[in-house]
Amino acid sequence: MGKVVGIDLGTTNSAIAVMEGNEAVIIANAEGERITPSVVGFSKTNERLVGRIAKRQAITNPERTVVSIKRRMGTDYTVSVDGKKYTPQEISAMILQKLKTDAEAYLGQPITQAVITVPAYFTDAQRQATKDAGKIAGMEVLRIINEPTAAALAYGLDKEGTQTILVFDLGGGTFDVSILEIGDGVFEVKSTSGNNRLGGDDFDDKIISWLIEEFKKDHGIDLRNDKMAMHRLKEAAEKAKHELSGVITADINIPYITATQEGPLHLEKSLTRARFNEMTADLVEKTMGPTRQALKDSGLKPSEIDKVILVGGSTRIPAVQDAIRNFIGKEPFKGINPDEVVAAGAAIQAGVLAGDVTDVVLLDVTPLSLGIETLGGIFTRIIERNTTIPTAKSQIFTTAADNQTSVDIHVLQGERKMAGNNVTMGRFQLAGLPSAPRGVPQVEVKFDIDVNGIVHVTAKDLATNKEQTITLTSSTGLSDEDIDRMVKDAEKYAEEDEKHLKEIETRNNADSMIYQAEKLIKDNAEQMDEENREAISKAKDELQSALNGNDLEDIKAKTEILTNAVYAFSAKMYEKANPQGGDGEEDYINTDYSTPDDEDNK
Amino acid sequence: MTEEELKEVIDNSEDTESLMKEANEENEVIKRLKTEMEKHQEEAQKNRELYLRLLADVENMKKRAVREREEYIQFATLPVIKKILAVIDDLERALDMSAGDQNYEALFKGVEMINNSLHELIKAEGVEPIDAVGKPFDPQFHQPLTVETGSDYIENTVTDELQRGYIMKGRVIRPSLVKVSG
Repeated sequence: MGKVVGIDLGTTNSAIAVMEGNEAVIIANAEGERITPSVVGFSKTNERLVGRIAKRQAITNPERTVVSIKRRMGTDYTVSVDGKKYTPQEISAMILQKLKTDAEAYLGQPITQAVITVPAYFTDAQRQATKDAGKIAGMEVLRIINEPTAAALAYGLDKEGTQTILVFDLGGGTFDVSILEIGDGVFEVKSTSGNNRLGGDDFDDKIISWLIEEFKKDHGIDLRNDKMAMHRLKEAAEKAKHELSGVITADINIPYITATQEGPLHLEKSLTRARFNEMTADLVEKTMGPTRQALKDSGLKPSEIDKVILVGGSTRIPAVQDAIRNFIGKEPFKGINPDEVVAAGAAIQAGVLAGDVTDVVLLDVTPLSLGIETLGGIFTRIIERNTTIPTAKSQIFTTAADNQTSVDIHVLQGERKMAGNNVTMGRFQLAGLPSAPRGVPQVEVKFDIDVNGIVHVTAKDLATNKEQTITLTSSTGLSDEDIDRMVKDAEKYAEEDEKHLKEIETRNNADSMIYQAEKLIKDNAEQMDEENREAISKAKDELQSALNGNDLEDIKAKTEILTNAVYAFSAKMYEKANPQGGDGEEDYINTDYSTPDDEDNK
Repeated sequence: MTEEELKEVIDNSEDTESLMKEANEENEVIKRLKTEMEKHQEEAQKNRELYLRLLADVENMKKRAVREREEYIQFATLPVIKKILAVIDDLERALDMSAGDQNYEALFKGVEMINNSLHELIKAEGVEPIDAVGKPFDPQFHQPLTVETGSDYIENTVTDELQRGYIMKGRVIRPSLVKVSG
């Protein structure tokens, strides 16, 4: 069986999506855009144009361009072109056909079945007309689903028990608000309301009008009659609107917007979010009226709404989000692109009908990172959080002291950089390591999480193959809130932790350098001349005393001095051993010399 | 015991013997099947475990791919940005050197050169301007702002270009803004 697609057939824009793996993927059209304007045009050469191109030629060809046909679905309205009459179903079918063709090119296989979304308030006749449009486009419409239902499906809310959801959909040219009740996977529309002449363009127009007024005030010129200036104003207004969703001031610069006898004029303005909110307050209020109405019709109080979902690009506007948040008293659901959430939900429904979704094996993820404590109390991650299980990972560690015959493995979970801030899962010891200088033994620590979330931690000495295992249950005694808090804490303390980590690393480095220096003096007692010995000893003692203090920069500087003293001697040694050796080679050897310490010391 | 009775007993014992033998054979079969079943069950269990591990591996690879892609996208523009920095340098030189200077011609020449280098830069990235004036109006490439009646051109021809459009590697990245004859 071929793929079943999900289609959001909108008034202004449409989108198509399909399930790939277990994710809904929006399919870009032939022009490379993820949404397609719901516009159909018949060119003067009688070519049929759909989407962006149809929208583009509308101005040269208004009487043969059809926009917003969705408003006519289910009526006996017809479009006449060259004496031929087209029903709304036929026009809609042309849009569906374009989506279908482009998606087929992407998928590399024909599409014969689809799920199409319609507004919750659509009548049976309007739904039937939509189904017919699909059929005319060569697709069997397996199901017509409500747009708010699709949005809820996209957020997976059908799997969370009985709840009441408000879907707030501020699209390109229409505003719909719906209240749904979900229980046992069944959706019931409690009420709907809206404003079918309200959308993102209205917000742009406010900015454009403001810019025109300001320009008139500054230069006494009305840009309204200048088509090119108007076009640039529209682009600049859209850009400013988008920027104001992220920052609180947007600069609007349009150089050479027009010219007078005195010379060229530029437009330079700065728009604050506060000013933008003020000029669009009436538009935001226009969404709140229907929202209050829908709530009233459903007989519910704002506090009885469990979730709020935002749909449509204009819900990115902070003032819109604030208004709905203040009214319902809950943080709205975000995360899925509001322009694509309906098509994504339709694709999920399509996947269920095609049997793609039901058979999915749901694998868990580790909610927190797992790792062990290493030298200086550092938490070394072995398995990152959000890793899908079952999984296994290992890392090799070494000893921190000479003749260390056992290592303590302290298993922890959490997101902080220091072990002390994370949660202990268990501890064990691997004993019986053969005596060796520090840094020589190789202990492999392996984390294996099975499908049930049981963690097996094994430490194995690679020299003797001696090993020790502990079995733990991950997230023991941790609630979702605990996990959430731990993740948030890690973000909160990220900077502090990073500083602390750097400090410990600096200290570990210094300590390791002192060890190396001592070893060098001992191993080369005979070859070393007084001068070198003196230099290294002095640098070593100074670093040792710096380590007793708290001045990190001092420790770093003294480590550097000792490193140089040690290198000076080893360079001399190599020179002696290999008098012909070139400079480059020495450098190479010297850098190589320090690698054992780059490994994690255990 | 008559001879006949005796014969019967012997026959019976023969029957019992063969029955016993049969039962033993069946037991053997059951035992064998049982071990085989256990072996298969164990294998199925192992295979399932392996399948889930591979599935998890795929998931983790996907996550890594997404992460890598994000990182890649973050720096995808780097080579172009590097080239643009040189153009910014030139523009700033133009501004610095013309500040307080009335040499319009020198400024014009400088800006023209900078403009040329920018064009070369985008050309190297596969961006080409769209031909417009005098061409038949094609909504794939041209976005009309106005329709002019009474021009010398035949109907549905681009009569003026208000802003140049561009194609990148065959895809329209911005249509030309044009006037079209009515």
